[in-house]
Amino acid sequence: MKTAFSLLLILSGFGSAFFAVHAYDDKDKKAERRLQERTDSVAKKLARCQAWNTSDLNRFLNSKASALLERAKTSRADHFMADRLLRAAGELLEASEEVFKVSTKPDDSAPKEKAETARELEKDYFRVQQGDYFAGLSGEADAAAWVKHSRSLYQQARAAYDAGRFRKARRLGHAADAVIDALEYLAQARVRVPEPPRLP
Amino acid sequence: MPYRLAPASFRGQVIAIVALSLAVVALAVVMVRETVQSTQQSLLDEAREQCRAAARELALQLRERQAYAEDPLTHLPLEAQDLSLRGLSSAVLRSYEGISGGYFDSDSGRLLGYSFPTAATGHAPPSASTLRALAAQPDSVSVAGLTVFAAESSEPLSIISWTSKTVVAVNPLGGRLFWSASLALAALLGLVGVVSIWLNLRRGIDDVRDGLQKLETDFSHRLPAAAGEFSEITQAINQMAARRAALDEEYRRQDRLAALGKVVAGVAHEIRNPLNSMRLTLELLARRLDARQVQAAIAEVDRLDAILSRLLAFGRSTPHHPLSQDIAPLLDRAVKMIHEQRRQRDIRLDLQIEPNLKAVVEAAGIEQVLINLLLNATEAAPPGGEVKVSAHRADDAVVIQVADNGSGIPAHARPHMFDAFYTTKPHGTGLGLAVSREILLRQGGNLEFETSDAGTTFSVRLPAKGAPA
Repeated sequence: MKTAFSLLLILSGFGSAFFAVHAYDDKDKKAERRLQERTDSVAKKLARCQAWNTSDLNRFLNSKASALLERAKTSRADHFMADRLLRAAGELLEASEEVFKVSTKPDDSAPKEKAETARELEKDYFRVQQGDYFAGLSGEADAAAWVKHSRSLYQQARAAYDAGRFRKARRLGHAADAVIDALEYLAQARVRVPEPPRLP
Repeated sequence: MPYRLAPASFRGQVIAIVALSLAVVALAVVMVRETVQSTQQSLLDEAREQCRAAARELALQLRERQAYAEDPLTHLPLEAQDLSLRGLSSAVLRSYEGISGGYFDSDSGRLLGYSFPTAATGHAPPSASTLRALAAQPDSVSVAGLTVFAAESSEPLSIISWTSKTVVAVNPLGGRLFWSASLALAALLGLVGVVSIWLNLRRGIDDVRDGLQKLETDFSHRLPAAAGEFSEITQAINQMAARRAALDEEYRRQDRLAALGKVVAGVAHEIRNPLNSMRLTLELLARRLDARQVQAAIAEVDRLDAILSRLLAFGRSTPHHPLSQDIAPLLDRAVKMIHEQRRQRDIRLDLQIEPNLKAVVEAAGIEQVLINLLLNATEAAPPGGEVKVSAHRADDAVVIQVADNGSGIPAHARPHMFDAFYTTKPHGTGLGLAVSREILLRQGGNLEFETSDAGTTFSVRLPAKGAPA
């Protein structure tokens, strides 16, 4: 009886260890899987956007996204960094897509969209204001050009708003916002920010 | 007794001035202090409003970020949260001058997203205890000294938005110690100044009082030179003393002359009667005896009589009755009277009279004065010399000048020229100028002279109109 109880304990210990390792493996695999899914998604989006290399800005954004995708592929050991790089690439492609749509899709804005557009532009404006800060931490050699593009997109959005082309304004504002989002992701990926101090 | 606003005594006035000065200084200090406190409070109030607004905006932006971002902040590691929140706070606080701020995770007790974008120099976040205290009372504003804190919750997140601003101390000159030292110094300087003024005035008053006491017995005493306003007072007192000394001397002279005149008049009267008898006797003898020798004796008696006449004129103080007289005839008669003496010494006469000159005088007395002056000038001029006589109007007076080209009056004799019985001539009586001046003074005129090596000029001043003084 005693021997049987001991065997049971040993088996349960082995079982717990097995399940723990298995759970860890599951979590890691999940993250790996999500990373792969995101990589695939970004790659598809990049392929789609590269077909729209209709303007210098499109080409600039697509090329940057492509470079980030490659960096993410080589940084898969660091899930967080790879995730940030993929998200940055995704934001750039988002911006590229918006820029493309602005030039191709007709703007059939309704006057009732004005208030919603104003609110969104306000948020976009605030986001563009943060561009210099994140550019300084992003490590991109030409980060200043990113910020410049973002500001330019916002100004175009503002002009479109004044012209009553609210849908176009929202698209351009979203593109400006997305460029800054990309810079923020890059800053998060690159900068090893020391942990905030433990308060004494 | 008239009503006085200030104390009558100088000491009382000094005390009043000191007290008033101290009161004014104290009032000024209180006013400055009130102004400083009021300004400080205004700055704190403004900072409270700014901190509250900034904290609200930080909280708003955090909620927006959390709601709209594809990747919510709370899912990120703390390092990434700190980085992203710093971007948020720096963008918000850029519009708020002098305000620092950030977020505080009350669950983990971590400071996140701290920034101070408008700070010119280095800065440090508040202490943990301060942030915990802020987190304990969200949606509030607190003041610690000159620093204002505001906290705003970001529900449903456990992150608190906070801001802080330290206002400038409105204390540009160094605080209570400076004001105390300034007040003490101002009071001390004021006190020293007032005491110094008081001592100066006291010394001046003492000098004047001592000087006046000495002047009571000695008119020749003069107050020492003083500085400032007291110099005017001492000068005025010295001038008054000089005038009084001159007046005193004049009164004494008048007294002497009056006494002398009485004696002379009495003596002359007593002598004249026997002298008349002697003359009558001598005239009687002249008819019987050798007339030539007796005539000489009669001449001497006449001379004695002339002297007595002058003495009587000097001592007489009878009232006179001046009339408006033409000056030219008076001068003509006087010139004729001395013609013989002038001829004997070969003296030229230069006579210049302004036409229609009139003076209000008694003719006989003035004629005697002119004769005296002309005789003196004729005797003073060298043989073959010249005597100049001129008469002209000057303001309300007629001035007659008699000038000779002699050798002038010796310096030692000048102060005594108008003294009775003082003479520089071997056979003079010393009465001519004294009598002349006395006559002129009685008629409201005057007699003066100027002398040098080139000669002497006597100036007769006569009233041109009105009654003499």
